[in-house]
Amino acid sequence: MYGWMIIWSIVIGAAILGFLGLLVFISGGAVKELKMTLEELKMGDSENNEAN
Amino acid sequence: MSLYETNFTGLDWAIVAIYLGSSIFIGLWANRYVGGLSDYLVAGRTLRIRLALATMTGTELGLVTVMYSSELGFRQQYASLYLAIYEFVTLLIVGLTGFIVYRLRQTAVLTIPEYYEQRYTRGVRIVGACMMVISGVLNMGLFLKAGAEFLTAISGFSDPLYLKLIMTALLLLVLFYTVLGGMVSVVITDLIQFIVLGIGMLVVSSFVLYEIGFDGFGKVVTQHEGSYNPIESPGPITLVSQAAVLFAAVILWPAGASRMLSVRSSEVAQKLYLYSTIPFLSRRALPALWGIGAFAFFASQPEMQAAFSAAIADENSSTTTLSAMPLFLAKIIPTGLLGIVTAGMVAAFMSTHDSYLLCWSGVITQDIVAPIAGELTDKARINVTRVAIVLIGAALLFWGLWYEVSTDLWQYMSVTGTVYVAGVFPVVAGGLYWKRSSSVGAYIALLGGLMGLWAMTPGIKFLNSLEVVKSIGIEITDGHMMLVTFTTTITGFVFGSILFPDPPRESDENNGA
Repeated sequence: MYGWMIIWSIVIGAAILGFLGLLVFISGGAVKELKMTLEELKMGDSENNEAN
Repeated sequence: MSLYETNFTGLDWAIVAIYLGSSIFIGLWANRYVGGLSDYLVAGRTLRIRLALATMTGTELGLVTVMYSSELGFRQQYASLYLAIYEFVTLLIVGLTGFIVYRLRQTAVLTIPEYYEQRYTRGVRIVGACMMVISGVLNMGLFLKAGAEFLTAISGFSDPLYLKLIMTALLLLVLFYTVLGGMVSVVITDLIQFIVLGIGMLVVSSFVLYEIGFDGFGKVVTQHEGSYNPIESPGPITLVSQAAVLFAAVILWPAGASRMLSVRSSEVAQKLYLYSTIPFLSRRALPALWGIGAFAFFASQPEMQAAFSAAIADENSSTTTLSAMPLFLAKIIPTGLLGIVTAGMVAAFMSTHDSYLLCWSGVITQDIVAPIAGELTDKARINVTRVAIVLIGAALLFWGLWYEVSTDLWQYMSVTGTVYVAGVFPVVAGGLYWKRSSSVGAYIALLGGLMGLWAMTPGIKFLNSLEVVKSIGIEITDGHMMLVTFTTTITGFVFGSILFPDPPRESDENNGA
């Protein structure tokens, strides 16, 4: 039983801490990326990317 | 405190309403950025890693995921967490190796059925698309139901008709801004919803941990006989069948795959899967934690537990085991904060709905209507997509609000998902990695997925009633039938390809597969 409970504790701990880290990571640059995406779409640049 | 007494007040409704109003505004605003079909369906393939990750998490962390994960947490306690590990390991493998996703993104297709035509034939594309839509719409059919259960329980409302009206209004809202803005508005709202939901999930988890305490979580196993060993329960057959379904679904479930096809390059596609390990782990583990918390909460209060059990047994009540988590949260989270959390959950509901609607309607336009109708202009395709969105929405409303499900939510989800993933996995993986893959093999695999319908409750009951099955002395379960479905599609694909090879094509000589 203790072995399983240690595993589940690690899973839950990783989920909480990992999600916190993810929020920080995405918040750190997503708005800037969104602005760039919208600019590219506005300029009709998107078709060029399909070639890539 | 009675079972339906919650902290949800008018203030919380106001917070939710303000949030929804903002979504309408964004849908209108995003419309100006939609140029061609590529912009509408895959945001012009301009997504970078953070934005792609936010929108993928926004899509895959829906309210329905929260509901079925917490229901499993409530019913199977710690043992339900094996699903979180499965998803984590699958994504890690794909993220490190690029298995399937790297090569699939290289093909530059907009949808998976488009790949069928590129690699096999137009007929395979149409059949594959039909299978995808059947499975997908069935799979999505209970989303509204799950959302209704959540709002009913958390707000303490007892009139189911009132909640049906709310869910109808929510669906209309999602239809409105998805039809208007396509993938651009979906990406923007997904980002906002991801942040609202992400903060909400961490706050809720903190409250659950504080309320139950480490002692309470320990008592789940030591005093209340909660499950902790998945090998004992749900058992090896379920473990194996779920491994097969989740492995295929994590890579090729269309809504997630459409994100992978929306990114700038194959490298970003692979990286997206690697970075998604944590959100996928969290989307399973955190709601499961809340479900385990609900189990501990009810187990420690015999009167409340008795009232809850009676409500579940009452045929005139809408309360099911799905209601345990929202009822629990509505009792421990204070007013105001509860509104923000609910807005986050409604965000989760909407972000999944908008992406799924766009995904299935895109498949109908690109892979069923366009191949049959011939050349269509971009404008015509966008219009067909919009009509398909509305039609799917209407079908979901009918199915979700009036269909009565007799199984637990995750079982329904995995069984309906098997119909699609059992077929698509050998067809795509074989097409990308096995030179001899043929169209006949693809047809057999795709149609073989229909075998998965036998894993639904009526099918299982019928099979177990057969004399030949009774004489063997084995009780057939949904896990057995899911494994049979995978075995059928994979062997059918391999033998069909070997026995009925495609005629050689010029592209075979150029690229090898």
